[in-house]
Amino acid sequence: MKSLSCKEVLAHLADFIDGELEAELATQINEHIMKCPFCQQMKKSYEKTIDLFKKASQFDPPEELVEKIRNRLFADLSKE
Amino acid sequence: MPDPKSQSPGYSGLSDSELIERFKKGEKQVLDELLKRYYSRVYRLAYGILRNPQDAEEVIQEVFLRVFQKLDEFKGESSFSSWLYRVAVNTTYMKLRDKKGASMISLNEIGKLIDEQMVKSGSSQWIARPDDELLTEEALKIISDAIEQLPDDFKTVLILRDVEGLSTEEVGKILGLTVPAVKSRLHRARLFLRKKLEDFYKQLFEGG
Repeated sequence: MKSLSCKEVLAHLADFIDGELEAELATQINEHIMKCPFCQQMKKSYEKTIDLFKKASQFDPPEELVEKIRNRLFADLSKE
Repeated sequence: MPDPKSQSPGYSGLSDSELIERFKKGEKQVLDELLKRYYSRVYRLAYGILRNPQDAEEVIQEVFLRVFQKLDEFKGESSFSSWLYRVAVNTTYMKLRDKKGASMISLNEIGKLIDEQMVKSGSSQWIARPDDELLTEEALKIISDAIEQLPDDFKTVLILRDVEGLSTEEVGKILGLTVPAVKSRLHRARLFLRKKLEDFYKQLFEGG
């Protein structure tokens, strides 16, 4: 099996992490990453960035908001 | 119209399409179930882009009013959630246009930062410390500041894909983008944020 360069691995890293690669290429990338500390860290920090983004984006609406929307909505629709 | 809170006809087991069918037959109470299913998601999207609770509240109210007023005309060519997200994105962008500040950086600037990152990272040899707790307040602060600098359409792609968990295809349909365009924005946005966290990662992996 042909071995990949770091550049090739990085080019496919997003699809690899998102599980959107065909099996053979995914296996090749996985094998490269297992052996390459640089790509290993790239993968780890890339995944951690996604994780941090998710955590930094958890905004809960204020509790009273749904009630406000509901009241406005049903008042509006009642007019029709 | 009956008070939506006074009824509980067990709508939770029905699909969005089934709820809409019932709405078209006159069961207006189904709106409550749709609201319950989606208002947190729409809020997260609007807040994530606008970064302001008051603006997000205004947007979310407008989105649901608009969508529910047009629900009778919904033909089901796309899923209800795609349609709702599309209206939410457009309404949020309209709000942004009203308030546009000068804090955004250009797409070219993002590309430049990413290129620099690739060159610099080539010589880096981080060694992982297994005992590290990766999530810290500091990293969340850095990433929150970095998110504010992302162009709006990059933020939107990231939220829909990474926070809401939609597929690349769904995001493409909502935003009118091809799959490669969605992937490209997603990747560049993630790399941009990663670049901003570079010092944090070095400290984390090298223990410096």
